[in-house]
Amino acid sequence: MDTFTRIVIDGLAAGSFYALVAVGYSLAFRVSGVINFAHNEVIMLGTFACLLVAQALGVHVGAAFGGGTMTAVGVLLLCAVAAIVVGCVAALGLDRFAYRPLRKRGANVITTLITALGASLLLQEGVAKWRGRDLEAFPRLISKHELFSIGGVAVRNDAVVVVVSATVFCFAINMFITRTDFGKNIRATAINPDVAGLMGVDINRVIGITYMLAGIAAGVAAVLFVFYYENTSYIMGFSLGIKGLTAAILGGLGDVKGALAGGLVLGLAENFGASLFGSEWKDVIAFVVLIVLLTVRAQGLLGGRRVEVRA
Amino acid sequence: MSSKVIKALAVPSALASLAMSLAACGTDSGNSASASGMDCSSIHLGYSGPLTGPSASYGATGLDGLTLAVEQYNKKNNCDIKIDKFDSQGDPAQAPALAQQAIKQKNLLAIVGPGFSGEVKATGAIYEAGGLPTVISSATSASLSDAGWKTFHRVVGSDAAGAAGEAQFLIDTVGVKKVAVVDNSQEYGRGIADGVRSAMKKASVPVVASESIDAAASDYSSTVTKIKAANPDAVYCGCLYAEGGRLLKQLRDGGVNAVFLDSSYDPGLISTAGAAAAEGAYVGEPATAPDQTNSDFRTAWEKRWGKEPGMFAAESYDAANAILKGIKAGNTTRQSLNDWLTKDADFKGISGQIKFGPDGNVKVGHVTIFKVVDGQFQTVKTLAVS
Repeated sequence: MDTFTRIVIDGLAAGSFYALVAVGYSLAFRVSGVINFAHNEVIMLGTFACLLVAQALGVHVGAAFGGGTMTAVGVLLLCAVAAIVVGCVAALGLDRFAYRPLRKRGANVITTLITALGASLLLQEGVAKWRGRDLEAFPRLISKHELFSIGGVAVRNDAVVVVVSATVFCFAINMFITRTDFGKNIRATAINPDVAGLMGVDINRVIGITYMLAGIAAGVAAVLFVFYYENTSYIMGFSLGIKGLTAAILGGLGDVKGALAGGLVLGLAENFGASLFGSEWKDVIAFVVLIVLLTVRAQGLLGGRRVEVRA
Repeated sequence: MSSKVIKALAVPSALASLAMSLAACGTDSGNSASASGMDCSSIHLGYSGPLTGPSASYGATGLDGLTLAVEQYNKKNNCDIKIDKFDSQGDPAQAPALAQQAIKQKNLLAIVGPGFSGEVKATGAIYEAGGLPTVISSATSASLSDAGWKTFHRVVGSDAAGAAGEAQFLIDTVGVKKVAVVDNSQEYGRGIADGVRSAMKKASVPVVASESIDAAASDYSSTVTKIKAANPDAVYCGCLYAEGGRLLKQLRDGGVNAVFLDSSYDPGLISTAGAAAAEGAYVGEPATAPDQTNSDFRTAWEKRWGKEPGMFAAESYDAANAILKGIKAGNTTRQSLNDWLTKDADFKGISGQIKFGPDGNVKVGHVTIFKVVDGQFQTVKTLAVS
């Protein structure tokens, strides 16, 4: 039973990251029909923004962090701001310089997909050139300790921060899309960009701002990543991104609540699978879950309103 | 040619070779190798490995060891053996072209290197085809000797020796009664972890958890949970520093305080895990500890290079000396030098006794265990593994 609880807690923490990545994929797909592979690298850039901010504030790996908890929270918040700003700029830049020109020329979905892959590799290799290919450690600002226990199984403070932040963020983004006027524009663009355009919606602006929302999600994922795993590298987005995209498809691509559900289900499935069959089966289990679910429910867990793939 | 003519030619040529070898053996100083094959001063030796790029420090040590040995030899024997550099950047894709270039260079007698296992794999057949002897000082993959290349010699212990030594350390020194063995699912990590698994089995020490992790993943919580439930005395990780460091950090955060031994001697392990989590962890490296080598060697190295000898320094110096001793014994053709290395090389080097087995591996390999103390690696002991 202890092991069961442990797996659930760890699965939810890992799943929260997948959910945050999935939100970014879903938002971009919803308004522009693009599987934005470079979203992984937007998160990666965010983690480096955090690293640089920490270093600029004199917080280094190896030296014990002298400040109290409040200072640590302050440093993390500054890291978050930096990661979100970098995430927004990068996401907006991708749309402006990589995808919008293609949209303008009515490029087909394959061209856009290849562009996304190209942008992803460009950012990866650019950072590898800049920072090198080694793993870089992020300093520990707050000691990790048990916050409470469930049936004797310790739940650590960092896991709680990750799960709560990811869940709150996903619900906030969902509310923004479903409850605000601008959200209505996003939904209108998602349903039919041509008609939305005729109704006076500035499509490029809507898509740009939606990419910014994806950038914010990337920034939040980035700061939580360095806080939880305490390291980063030019390639960190690759593995996380594939799982995030899987979670997005699992939840119903385009649906924010679905992304959250998909992420958490994927995190749990992976951890239970690894526990039952060994860690080498972790990815196999995750993708078997995806294939089985899509066979039974092609629109994903919560996707229901629109399942057609836009050309 | 008739048999009479052959016989007629055979006697004087046999006498000539006898005279040559006597001349070679007889002179202790002076141009000793000039009597047969090449003149000692027209001999070139090569170093092949990463001299630029991210792994350049490995290559620098290899080249420094060769240079020091050759300089000492030249001075002692009034000779002028030269060194050619073949910079592969540690890249298996670049190594074959360099090997082709090396075998075509007639005055090149032997190579120290290649530096990394990938390069050795990519070039072993080329060197064998060119009959160019290679003596490897830093590539440790156990499978390298499987191909049976006749020009393959290795003074450094293989990963198989490393695994045996590391398992021996866990059993004899740490006194483990049950272990968890993790590997990174890659050739290097899996090979060495499998070696530890079988050594544990041989010693009847139960492996209570056995995991293969994804080196690219960030989250090893399921492995931590499994290890915690199995409650081993030690966790062995056949890993490189990145995944080893991440696993170590997550193990400690997850409340697993078992002894940790990783197969990667790299300071990145400490920075990745964080100094607190890394404290007390062990790493193993299939080489002799540089700080435990002969003091004359260390003094000579420091005098020449202005720094202490690093990892694989003793091995590169020994690799060079194996070749130089062969030359000194009068073997100045690739063929005879290779035969000498394979059959007759037997001397006490800095890293240990240099004598090659039929597979080209040094008969007695060494593995050094380091411990993280105050955020730094400290040598614990070097074990001999045959």
